Amino acid sequence: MTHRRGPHTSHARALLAPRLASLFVGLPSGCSATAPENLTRVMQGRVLAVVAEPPEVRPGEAARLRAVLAWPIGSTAATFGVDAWHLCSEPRIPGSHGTAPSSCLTTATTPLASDALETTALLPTDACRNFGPDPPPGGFRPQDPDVTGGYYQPIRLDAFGQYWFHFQRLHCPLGNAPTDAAAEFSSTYAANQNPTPSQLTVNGVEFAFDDALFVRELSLADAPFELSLIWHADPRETYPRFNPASRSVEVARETVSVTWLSNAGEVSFEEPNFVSEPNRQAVATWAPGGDVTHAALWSIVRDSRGAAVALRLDAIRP
Amino acid sequence: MFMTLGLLCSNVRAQPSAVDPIEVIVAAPPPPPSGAHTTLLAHEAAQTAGSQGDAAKAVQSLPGVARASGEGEPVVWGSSPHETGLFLDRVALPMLFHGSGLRSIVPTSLLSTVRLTPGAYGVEFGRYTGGVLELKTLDDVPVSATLVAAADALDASASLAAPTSPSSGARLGARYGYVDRWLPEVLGEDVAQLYTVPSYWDAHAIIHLDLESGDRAKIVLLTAHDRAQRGNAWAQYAERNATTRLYGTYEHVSVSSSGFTSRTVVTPSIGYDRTTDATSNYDTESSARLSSTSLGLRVETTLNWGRGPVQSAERKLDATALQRLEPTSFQLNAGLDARAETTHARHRGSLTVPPREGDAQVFGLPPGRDYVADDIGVERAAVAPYAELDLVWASVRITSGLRFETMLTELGRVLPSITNLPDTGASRYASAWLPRLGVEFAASRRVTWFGALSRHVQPPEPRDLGTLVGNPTLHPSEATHLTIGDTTKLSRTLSVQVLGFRKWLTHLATRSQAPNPQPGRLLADGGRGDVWGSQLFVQLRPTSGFSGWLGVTISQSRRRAYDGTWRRFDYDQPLSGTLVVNQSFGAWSLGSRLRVASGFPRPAVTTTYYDLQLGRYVPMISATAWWRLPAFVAFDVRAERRFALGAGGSAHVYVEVLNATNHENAEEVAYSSDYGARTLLRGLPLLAFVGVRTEL
Repeated sequence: MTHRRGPHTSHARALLAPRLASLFVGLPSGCSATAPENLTRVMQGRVLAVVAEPPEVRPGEAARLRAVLAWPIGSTAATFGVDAWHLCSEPRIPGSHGTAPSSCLTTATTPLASDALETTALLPTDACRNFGPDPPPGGFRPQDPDVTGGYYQPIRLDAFGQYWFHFQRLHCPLGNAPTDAAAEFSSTYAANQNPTPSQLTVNGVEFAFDDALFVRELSLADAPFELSLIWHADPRETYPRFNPASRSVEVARETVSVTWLSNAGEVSFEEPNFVSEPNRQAVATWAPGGDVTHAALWSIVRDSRGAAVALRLDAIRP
Repeated sequence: MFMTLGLLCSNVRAQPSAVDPIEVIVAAPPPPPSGAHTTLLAHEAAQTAGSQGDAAKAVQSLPGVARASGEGEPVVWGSSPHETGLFLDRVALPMLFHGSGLRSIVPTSLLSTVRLTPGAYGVEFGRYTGGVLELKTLDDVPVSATLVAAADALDASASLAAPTSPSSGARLGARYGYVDRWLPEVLGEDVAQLYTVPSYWDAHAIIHLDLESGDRAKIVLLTAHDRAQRGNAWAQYAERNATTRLYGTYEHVSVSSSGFTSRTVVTPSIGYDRTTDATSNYDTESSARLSSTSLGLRVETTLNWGRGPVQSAERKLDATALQRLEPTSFQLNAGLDARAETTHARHRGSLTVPPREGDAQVFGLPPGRDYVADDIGVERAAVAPYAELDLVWASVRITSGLRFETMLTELGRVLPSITNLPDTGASRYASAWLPRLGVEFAASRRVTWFGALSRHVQPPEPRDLGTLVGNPTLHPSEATHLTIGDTTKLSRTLSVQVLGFRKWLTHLATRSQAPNPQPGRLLADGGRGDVWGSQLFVQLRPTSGFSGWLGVTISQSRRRAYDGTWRRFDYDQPLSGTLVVNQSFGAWSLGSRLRVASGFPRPAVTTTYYDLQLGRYVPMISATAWWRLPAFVAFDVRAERRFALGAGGSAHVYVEVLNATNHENAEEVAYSSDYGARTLLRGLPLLAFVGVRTEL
């Protein structure tokens, strides 16, 4: 099934259902959700992702962070930048609805020196205590991991007049686990790697994917574009994950998803766009439209452990 | 109140559909509550427009019940659904409706009466801080074999009632919902993945025994199951509920020549409940499962003097019954309410699932990223002896009762598991004296003033006792209820009741707002609640086939977190009103229902940020700023025609039109992906139901 509905709407609709369920007898003409939004179209300046090198670091180590920005048709890359980068210094309240600590929207932050698009974040030495499994002083409740067992240092970006949060994965020791499980985890865990594709093909022409933030220029005369991201090896890494229910370490495999966006025309791709064996590729079709002279397409590849890589194609009319 | 003393005679030996008065023995029934309560005969309730022939669903039309939302469980006088006790023959039920609030789990053919006490309920009930809804099954032994088959757009059912001997009989029945089979086909894939279309079934069996000694026994089995599943490539949701009750009642009645009447009822019960909710998508997954096995035992003895033993079936709902009492009488109601249960709750996923009352969230907000695994084992025993003395002297009736609630809770773990150390369990004991005082004063032959003050406690939900998702040391929540009002009888069949009510709620479990709470203290029991309001209830008992009621409730319900901030109760409805009118003539029965209600409060989105890992906007939601959905208005009509069949059988065909004016009601608000725009989701359009029921 090909359509352009993004995860936001689909997920929201799925979650709407319990509260409206009692009304289903009236559905034939009554209940209607909002029309699906075209989330693949960039209508205003946005931050799409932060590419981190490396994507997982220990407290006290540094990560190079590069913001991937998108802009609407008629603008150019040079117009935009990140106004400020901030390390959050307080954890999120357990059970609160957000994914970032609300205190980080106000004052509980540490500014990072940066230029418009990049910064180097030195992770605090107490990051695993504030945001990880180490109990804070006084024996308080540690933070909870995500489904991959990961913990994250939230980093706030101020751009385009609003807040964007990057979550930098922390390499923390296993907390409150049996000794043998902790030892097994420590000996087998490898830090996460970016799911960088091996190559990009555009209308059959191959490009080596030489950077986690890949940029190429295309000619609009060649539109529409048949795009394909290809991995020569399975990008879905396996990793040890502590199962808090069985209190043992088990082997899990990442998921890798691909999102495509453009500021002109239409992008068609299958959703959800997970990379899987044996194809190990993600395909899309981009038709920028005949009346544009300069259009851009972005692709964001994310793995479930918080790493991301990005692709930007600038299509210019010769 | 005085005027309703005759409402709840329990030993009615008449068919519920009897028209002619039948002389029956009334053996000292427990006194009805002296505060506010509403009782409906099941077969009358089933005629209420909007109930789709479901007597228990008519509860949603009673005064004091907020308009249903979500799964349809009743919100009574500003209390959460789980704070109102649901009882079938005084055996607690975990839910009233099959998933989605579509059908009640108790078939109408099983019921004799439905009674709602929205507050200040009697000491015979306990462990709930809201109200009490009592469903009572039929008591009489079937006098002849009757087969009832029914079908409509939702389900089909069949039930058989037959005598097995001159003094015994049985009722068997089953219902199967098939709406999930056709609705997705009609609505298409897109809508099918948007809405829960439940499949469900239930079955029941009752064995009635009239013993030679005059004693009576009844064994009841009820089992109800439902499940719903939906999803798309991004997200899946599954829900499954099952509940089973097996219980018996043994009733012994004695009448002495000196005017004393005693009645003893013993009700042992076994129950099994299981619920599962699971959501998953590519970046989060959450599930909550709860299974519980319970044993219950109730022993109730009622001793009275001076209350006439003979009533008629019709007179049970005749408000003039009071005047037929002896001028001086008393009734003592004493008993023991014991219950033991073992519960296992399993939590996987975000702490925001399932959402709690008061959580700041908006429609469609995905669960959080956090993943918590908590297994909670709770064994609990509660024993509550109680006694209530009901005195009538001249124009005054005083009902004073006392319940001593004792609760023992065994927890397998009181702190999160610590590496390489065995878990530490604990036993916790709590007790409470729960008094209740009701006073009535017959100011005149037509006017009765009444008031009731009571105290109630409710143990914490088992899942709230988890070391990682809750707090094993939670104190039972407490409530004090006060009702004051009067009833004016304008005629033999028309009465007007005006009352005010107040509820003070304390020790409510709320989320801790600390970024790093102490281990095992994710919830705190310092929450408070405050509910007040007034209610008008005009009731017309059937006269010349015409009946109905008007109920208007004006109320405010709010909650205060332990940090001192007050907020609106999630289901707060300042105004709710229902007008029900029924008219029967000949083979026709017509009914209508008009409902008006304030919209539900919704929190305001103050700002948003974008989560670059999940690739979605996240709203910041105010804990105190809120707005309301637009008011709800709906008009429903119902027509039923009875056709005589051979051999005394009959067929009933009904048509029910919901939202006959096709009013566009806003049921919820959906936000755009960046939460910058919101759209109201419209509810039920005009919709017609057709159903058939045959009795042979």
